[in-house]
Amino acid sequence: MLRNAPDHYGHAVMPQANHDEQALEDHFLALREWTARNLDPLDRRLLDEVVVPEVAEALGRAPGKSSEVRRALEAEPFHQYWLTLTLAYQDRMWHAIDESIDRQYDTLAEEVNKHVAAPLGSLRLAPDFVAPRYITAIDNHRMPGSYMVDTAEDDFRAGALYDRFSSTYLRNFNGGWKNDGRGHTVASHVLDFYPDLKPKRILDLGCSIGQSTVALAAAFPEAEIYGVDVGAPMLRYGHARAEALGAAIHFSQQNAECTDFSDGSFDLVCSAAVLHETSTKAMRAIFKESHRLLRPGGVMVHVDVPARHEHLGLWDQMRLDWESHYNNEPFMTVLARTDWMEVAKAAGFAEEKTAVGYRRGVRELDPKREDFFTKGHPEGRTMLGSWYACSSVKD
Amino acid sequence: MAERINRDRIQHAKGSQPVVFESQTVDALAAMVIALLGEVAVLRDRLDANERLLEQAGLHGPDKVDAFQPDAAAKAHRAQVRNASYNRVLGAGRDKLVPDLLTEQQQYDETLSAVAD
Repeated sequence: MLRNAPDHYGHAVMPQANHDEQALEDHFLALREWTARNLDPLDRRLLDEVVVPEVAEALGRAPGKSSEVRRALEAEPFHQYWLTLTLAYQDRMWHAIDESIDRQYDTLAEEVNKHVAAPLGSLRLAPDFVAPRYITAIDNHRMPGSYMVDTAEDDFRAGALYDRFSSTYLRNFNGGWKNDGRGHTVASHVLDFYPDLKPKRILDLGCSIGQSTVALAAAFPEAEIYGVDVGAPMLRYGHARAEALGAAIHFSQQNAECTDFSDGSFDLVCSAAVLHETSTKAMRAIFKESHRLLRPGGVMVHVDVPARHEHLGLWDQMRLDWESHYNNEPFMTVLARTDWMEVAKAAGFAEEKTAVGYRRGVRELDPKREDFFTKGHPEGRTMLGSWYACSSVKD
Repeated sequence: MAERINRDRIQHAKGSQPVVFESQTVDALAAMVIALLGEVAVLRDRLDANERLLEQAGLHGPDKVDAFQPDAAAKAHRAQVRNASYNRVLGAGRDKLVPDLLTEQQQYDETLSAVAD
């Protein structure tokens, strides 16, 4: 009943797929790829060749931002078809994986318990934890129940669901079933820009199930690694997952804006694809918290989705808006317009020590400077495969 | 067995609930058509798995299925099955759209009004 490995697919606590579950997952991926290959180019043309001229005539000038063409584009039946297929993938894939997890829930529970019996790392949950509103008000990326909902005592479902979805969603873009490319990208950036740092204590903010955190642990084997996240079921699963992979990580349930760690207690504080699920205020607070937690000479690195509004053509702006309008990622379009340098400076980092730009994603440690750049795509496309990064050194 | 809780909470993602086409009903129809595509894809993969497993067991495989020539009896059987399937799937659309039926429905509505009066 297993996918392709002798004992299990991926790591020991990962949900497995039987034949039909895998076929359905393959179908969803094929549906998304079909849409991207066959409909995206036509939807671009619909916008550029039909909608833009209409809107330009009405406005008396060319539309410059996606909000000016949204209404006209969304009235087009072809775009409605594009939206329907895009939503179908994003909405139904979760349910397909959830059903598969239901089938094997008790087996997975045994695996989770087995792997945390004699741990290398640790797990600290906060039963009275109150998550910020940007987490509780919506289910991010249409993940039913999002990160916080427990569906059993000591539940791990959200983590298992996220593990399967995220590795399938990003496939080879971000490291296959490990989905750890962003962790290797952060580590490569550190070794590229700050080769002498030699961090002893590392904190991964918004670590989710620790996919990037495990990569950081591999890149800095001498360091003590900590990860904080809001979701208890994510952390329970992440703890078991890290143990199954032999990584010593200390997980705790905390808000990345205001952790309980002491001032100056870390050499490296980072996050990977966390900021876009927060808010303007929270992003500022997370940069300030990073500054507080670093010792003088310590390094902050945040990487997130690569979309930058100033570098995008209209269709790619619309594709980014889709995330905020329909995929329950309300802050994503705002983040793409946010001046990260300004946020870093307001948090206490010096401009001359701060770098902001794209970092090409890597699947294993590869610290080279040509992977860092500031120019957008020549045709205004989203730089898929790269991440937008901000790093700085605390004075 | 773990006792599962909060099942209602994970039926739908909380947040954006767009209506893409003219109505929720059209959206629901589109969602069902796309879901059926998934069911057919899984079914085909399962048939493929069956053929390959049978081949491994020394019986027929996908190539033999591809080369299979149905005889007259098989063709007649398939024609019958196919027609019944078209009746179910395409007939559902016909029954909704056929103008005579719309006329009938209008007459029925008129009769209803007359009875109510």
